[in-house]
Amino acid sequence: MLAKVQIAVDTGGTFSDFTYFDVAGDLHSFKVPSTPESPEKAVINGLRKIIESGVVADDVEIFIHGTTVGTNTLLQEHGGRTALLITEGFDAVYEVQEQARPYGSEIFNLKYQRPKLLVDRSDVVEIPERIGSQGEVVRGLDLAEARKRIEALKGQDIEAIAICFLFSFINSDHEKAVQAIVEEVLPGIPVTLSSGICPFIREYYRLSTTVINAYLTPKMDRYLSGLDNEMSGLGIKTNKRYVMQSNGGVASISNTARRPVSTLMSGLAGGVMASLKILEQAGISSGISFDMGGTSCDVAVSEGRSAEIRDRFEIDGRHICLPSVQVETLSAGGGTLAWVDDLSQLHVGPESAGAVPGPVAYGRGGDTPTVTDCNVALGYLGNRAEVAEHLTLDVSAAKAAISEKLAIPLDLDEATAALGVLKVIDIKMSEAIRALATSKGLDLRDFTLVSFGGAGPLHSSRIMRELNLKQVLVPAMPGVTSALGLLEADVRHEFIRTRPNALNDLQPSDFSQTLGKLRAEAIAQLSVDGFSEEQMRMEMQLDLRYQGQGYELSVDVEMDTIDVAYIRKQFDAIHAKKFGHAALTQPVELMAYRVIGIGVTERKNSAFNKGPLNSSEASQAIIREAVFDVDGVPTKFELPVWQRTDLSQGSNYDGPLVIEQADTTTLIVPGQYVFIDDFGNLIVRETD
Amino acid sequence: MVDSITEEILNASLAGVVKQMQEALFRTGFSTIIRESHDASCAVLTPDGRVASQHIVLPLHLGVFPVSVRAIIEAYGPTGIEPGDAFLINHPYIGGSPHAPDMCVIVPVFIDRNLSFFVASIAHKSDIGGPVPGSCSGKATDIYSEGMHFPAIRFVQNGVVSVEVESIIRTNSRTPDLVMGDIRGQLGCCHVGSGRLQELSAKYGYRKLVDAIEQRIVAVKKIIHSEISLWPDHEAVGDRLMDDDGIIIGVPIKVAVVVKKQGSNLSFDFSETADQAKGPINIRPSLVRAACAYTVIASIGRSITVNQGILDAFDVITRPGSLLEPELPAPMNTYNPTVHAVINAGLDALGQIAPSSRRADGSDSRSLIFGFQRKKNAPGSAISYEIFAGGSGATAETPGLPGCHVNQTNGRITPIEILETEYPLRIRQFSVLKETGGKGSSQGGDAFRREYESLTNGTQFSIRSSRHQIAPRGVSGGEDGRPGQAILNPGSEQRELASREINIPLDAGDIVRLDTPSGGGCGQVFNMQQKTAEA
Repeated sequence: MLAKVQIAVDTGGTFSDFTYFDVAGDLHSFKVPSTPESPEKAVINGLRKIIESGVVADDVEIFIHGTTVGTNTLLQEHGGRTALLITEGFDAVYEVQEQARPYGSEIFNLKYQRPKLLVDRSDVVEIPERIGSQGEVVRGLDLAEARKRIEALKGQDIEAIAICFLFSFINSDHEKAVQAIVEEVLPGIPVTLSSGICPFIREYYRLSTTVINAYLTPKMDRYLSGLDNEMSGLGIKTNKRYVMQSNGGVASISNTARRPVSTLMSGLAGGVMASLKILEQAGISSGISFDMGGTSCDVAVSEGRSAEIRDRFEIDGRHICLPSVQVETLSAGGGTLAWVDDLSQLHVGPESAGAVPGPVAYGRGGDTPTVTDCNVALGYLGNRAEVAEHLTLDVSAAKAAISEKLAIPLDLDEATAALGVLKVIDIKMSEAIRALATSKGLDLRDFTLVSFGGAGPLHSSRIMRELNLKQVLVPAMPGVTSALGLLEADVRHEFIRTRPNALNDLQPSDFSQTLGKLRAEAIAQLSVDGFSEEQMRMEMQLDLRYQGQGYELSVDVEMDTIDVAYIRKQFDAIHAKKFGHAALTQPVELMAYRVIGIGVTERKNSAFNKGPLNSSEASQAIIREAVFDVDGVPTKFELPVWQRTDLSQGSNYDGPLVIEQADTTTLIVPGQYVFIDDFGNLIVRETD
Repeated sequence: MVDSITEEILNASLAGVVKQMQEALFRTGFSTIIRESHDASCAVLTPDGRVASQHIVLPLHLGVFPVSVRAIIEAYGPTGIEPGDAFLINHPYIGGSPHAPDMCVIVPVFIDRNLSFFVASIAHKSDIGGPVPGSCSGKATDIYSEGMHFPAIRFVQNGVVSVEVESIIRTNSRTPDLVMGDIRGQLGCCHVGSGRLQELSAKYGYRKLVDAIEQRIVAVKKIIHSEISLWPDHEAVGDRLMDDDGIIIGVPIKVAVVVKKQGSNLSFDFSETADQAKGPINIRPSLVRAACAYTVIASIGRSITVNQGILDAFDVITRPGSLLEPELPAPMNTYNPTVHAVINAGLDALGQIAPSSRRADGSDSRSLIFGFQRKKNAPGSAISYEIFAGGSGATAETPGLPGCHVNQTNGRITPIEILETEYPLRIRQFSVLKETGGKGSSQGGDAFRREYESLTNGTQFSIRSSRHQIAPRGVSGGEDGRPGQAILNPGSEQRELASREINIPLDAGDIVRLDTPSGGGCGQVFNMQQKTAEA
């Protein structure tokens, strides 16, 4: 079947980015203002715009959505009132959590507080039951007592139920039996089972994930079903309506409504997946995804074709154990503030001016200089089209603020102060990337920095120099890169069975039996999603650890080549690569089996293959005055300002120059050059 | 002299260097102690042994490096240290290690053939010999019973690890591979740091780097002094009692401090603290200084660069022969309860001067150790080692938390499902003891109960706890928390355990119940009736 219209929308805080392939296979993109009060409005507004442009609703084949509804609901603590059902006698699992404070400055905070409990103490219900470590029933489930306690929840405005019993990942009978009671006593209230949402060992992380899922369900369900209905109202018929998941794959709207916790990294995953696709297409294997916006900067490092996946992560101090792309978020963006304290010390961040009041140059009431103001004052950032629609940059206000708030207190000239702020923020980002690379044992010299987001391409050439990277790659449409990543995503389901066992005690039949069962589940789910067997791809993994370790590593396996010695060798090798050593004599334990079912969607075209973007008329750069650091001395340059569409393929352009386009500005500093590659990407390298 | 931008750039770079060293160590460390408990720190020091930059994971490690590096300089002399050297030290009296398992690896950095920096790391080792696995015997009465001690020794020369030293370590540790693996990880991370310092010197110039460091050390001291100046001049006394030293049971041991604040000067005088203890709860002055630094950093509530300026911003007086400046061979493997007491006493006194320091006591920390016979033919034994907090203390603005570490300790709890999967143990209960936190306008954090059943005969149980006699103290009129308790076989034949006992045999069906202490409250409980009566 030939693909028809494919649409992706990535909802951000200020704008929602739309990209789509029309029936002719041409790629389009645009932005509409986000509508945080009712986020579905922006999505519908954009879809309507696409239809008004001539796209026939009936031709829409796929719709993919990156959403922040779940993340925002959690951050703002606006979820539904949730009751938590736990094993009797174990309420400390929820309240004590990890027992520790986060590492870092919190250790010195005498007033340290955990994030607010999403479930009140009074909404925690203890159920008489207990499963043991082998899945055996240690204490039978007291059905009558359970019913009595659940009935007490009636009339309490409970909107969601979370159930998490000890060892339910190995025997879920009690959780399921209690679910049945809940559905009878409290009909219509959504229930999340820990054995369903994340059947992993380690009770606190499983419980936390279960609670967050239940807490988000009412809101996410309303949002997605509202969106679903309105899409149908627009005449869109396809049932391939997907939502981006934290793991870099997509899942159907109906599945996502039941598993909102799996969308918490939805927004970030799009960017990482986009970066991977861009690298793959350009034939580059080692890359850093660098997405810098107004308040923060999201960084991910990759080697090879797949995203680094982690099994546990935190949002605002809350723990989630579900596979998610590994992204590091740094507090560094265009809005990052710079100030001088009472002891004449310069500070750059982590505080940010945010969208309001924003940089001084935006004229929205900001009076503290920001990173953006420094970029404006030095001449790097001009009146880009997109900025101009909403406001005019006030260059003299930015300069005045830098002079008054930074240069005078530091007894420096204005250009030195502005250059200094940029150096400090660049060093901070560079050091964070270095630490990230070191934690993975990577040597960055061969890495390509894939730079996007509103502010990324302004900083990436200096970061490349600081980190001694191979090159910077700025994709053709850096402002909608995350949305393009969505357009390329495949359906992905993970099926997990946790069965701790010494690796040496296992027989090949144990592996094939368990993996076979999981595989059958994956095939069944993908069939429901409408995929034929040819469109399915299966990945199988075993989660292993050295005895006594607190985490596992996944080892890829093939169904027919499973033998214990081979698995052991693979595990030792992966461990050595990741951590620099292997413990060859230490016993290895298998903790979980994992099957990842992927439903591959046929693409019209690559979303990233733009080719050269030449305009018909030959044009010239305009010249602006800018200041760069030359051996520690602020030096004035005549800075050529090119429109991206005016650059021609096959030419090298020497720095300094800036390249402007609708959604971002790319800066190339003296001593570097830039060219357009075969796919329309800008490539920046050092001249020597 | 460098301008303030260069100062910030170079110090941000140095913070990056120690962070990178730390990541390298966490990644390549062999034992779970480093990789998961993160019981390890890294630092860059000046050639005379002052901290230029440190990544703080555990606050206590702040005081360790200067003393340890100075011990190396003293032992080898500035000219006896050569490129390609690396040194090892873990002696609490000669260096600054809290106890023998905390081994320091120190590498000199040469720029233009001059000794220009030291890079160092400290990491807790799984076992360094001595009478008990893990090297920390609660019954030790001298340091010779606390594992193997290394004075300042060169163990790498011209880049080659000494075969002799390695073989001595391997022969004396119960876990030779883990210990040597971790030491190699420490060496590796020092080399990462050394490489980065050479690069920074080449890029910015060694002189500038040194100036930026020296200026920032002065600046940090200045920031702390300016914050201290805002407090009223005052002299205040603080003290805390500990249950006992584990040897002479039931005799409380006192930590006492007089804090004097005048202008921007601040001093902690511990002269009135008890004499050195027979049991292993003594700590060396380097730890006392780190503990005081903790109270100062916590009280000023302002983010500062971590360097020598913090340690130099105040004075500490300890009395030779006391618990806090013991003489050889006083033992010290169980240092945490004493450090908690020093911090709590320090905050007690500081809180009378600066309201921002006022916080009720938390429940400090404790560990339970279960040892099991391995299956037939398997050598050695399996050991489950868990560290527990209890309720944390309240402040005027914040309540205490149930089961949350305070002060310098921060170990994560072991999941029940992991524990039961790996060991013949069943947890019968893990529940919050509700409303046990000390009352107050802000309430202390609740205690919790954790109850274990041994599923086999021949289990050996040890407890190293604290605050079973002495309750966590409330502040500003808030009530005290509740002391902790450990009971063997609760019921008719129950026995209450002392806070420190070792090797209690358990049979299948035997039960151990731990109730942690709860945190102290802050502020008087608002009394409605009283208020009405007054009106």
